[in-house]
Amino acid sequence: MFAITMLYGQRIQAIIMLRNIDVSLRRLKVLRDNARRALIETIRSFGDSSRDPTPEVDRLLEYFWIQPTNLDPYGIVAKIEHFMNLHDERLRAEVGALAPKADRTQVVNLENLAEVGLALNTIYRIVRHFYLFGKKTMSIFIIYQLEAQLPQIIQEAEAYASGMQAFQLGQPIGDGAGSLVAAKFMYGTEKWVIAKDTVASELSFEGRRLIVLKAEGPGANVGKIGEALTKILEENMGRISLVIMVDAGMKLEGEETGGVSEGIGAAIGGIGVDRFKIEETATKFGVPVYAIIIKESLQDVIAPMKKEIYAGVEEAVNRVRRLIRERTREGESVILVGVGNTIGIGQ
Amino acid sequence: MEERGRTLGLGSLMTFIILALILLFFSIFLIYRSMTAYVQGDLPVSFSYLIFSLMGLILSSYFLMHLKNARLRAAKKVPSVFTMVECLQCGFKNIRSFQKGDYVLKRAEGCPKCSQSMLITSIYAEAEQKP
Repeated sequence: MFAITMLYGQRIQAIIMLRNIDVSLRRLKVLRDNARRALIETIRSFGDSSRDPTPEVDRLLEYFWIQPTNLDPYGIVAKIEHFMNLHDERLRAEVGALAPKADRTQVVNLENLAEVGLALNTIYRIVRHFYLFGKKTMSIFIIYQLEAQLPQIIQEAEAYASGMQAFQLGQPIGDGAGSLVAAKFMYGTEKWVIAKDTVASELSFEGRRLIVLKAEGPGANVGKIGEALTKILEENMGRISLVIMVDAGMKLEGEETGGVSEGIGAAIGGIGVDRFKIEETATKFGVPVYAIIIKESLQDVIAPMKKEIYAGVEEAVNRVRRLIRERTREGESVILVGVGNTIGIGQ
Repeated sequence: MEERGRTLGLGSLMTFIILALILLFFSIFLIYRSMTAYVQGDLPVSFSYLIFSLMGLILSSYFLMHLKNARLRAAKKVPSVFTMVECLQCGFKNIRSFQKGDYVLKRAEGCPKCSQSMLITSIYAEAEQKP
């Protein structure tokens, strides 16, 4: 027994780890297949009944975009933005062509559903690649690395999977918490489109001029918040006393879902294009940017919005009011930005 | 891993449980044999039985724990989504199941109290255990 352990211990360990990875890989496959099935069924309900969308959906699930090279980082943000826009436009056009009966909101929701399927397919393919590679080489280091990262990978995949129901039915998701805060201020005022998929409105709040920005709902949009905010700051030549950004923020283990925290800086996620634009313009005009985040887990971000997050939204609305009262005087202008995917949230 | 996904069916699950239980009972039997050998003064045989019974116990407990964890994973919470509609006129509130087409700040059905159209003020998920 001792000799076997000495000679084959590492191999036995590798086999046990490969078995664990195999179980997780099957779970990932089920999640990917469910997303694919949901996408095909939803597209079929909006598309030509005589045509089977399966080959086109399979093609969409393999879709990729190549990030610009950062060998020369100068001007990389504009390049990333250009290719990201291209990716979004192409995906939307392809989904729109597959579902001709869908209206604009439904096309945007379908686009997000396709993104979920694409993400799950990518995760599955990458994990399968390293699993098979580890199995082929029996390299303990490759197998170790994959097994160590699996809990996080599974969590991420399950987060994507939990968002499918929301994108199919048009339900608000946790990421929309910031948008909901803005929507609560916007309701009943006149709105205008300020950038692609982004709306703005102006109202008076206790003697202050309040400009509110959010992505255009109730479709699954995130809008062009950076572009919209830059436009308003430039139009007002920086005569803005305060910018308040509200977004969903990642909670740490042990923290409560729906808890609210305040800070400084541009509260906006994504690849960084919007944050870059906001930081650039705010610095140029010397405008203070305050951030409020509503805490939620990775899974809550894409899943249908939980009741606790609604409580956080109410708290964030009160914090916005307090900040405006405390940090500005009557007659001054404030911008409130509600960041996040606005699926299931009107304005 | 084959491209064809294999799932653990009910038959395989039952076989797995039966094998784990057989192993468990066999290990208990070996403990009994070990004790009998010890009473008879045959210490080497008693020790061998003890080692094998312990290994069997560890293995069968591991399999059964693994199954318990799989069951826990299977009982995932399925969220039910509710829509809250409010009448801004008289303050009447109603919570109903989410219907396709609902969205927050959408004008909804008429208020049963004052007949004014109500407003969807929130749509939220509450976790429910799968039956």
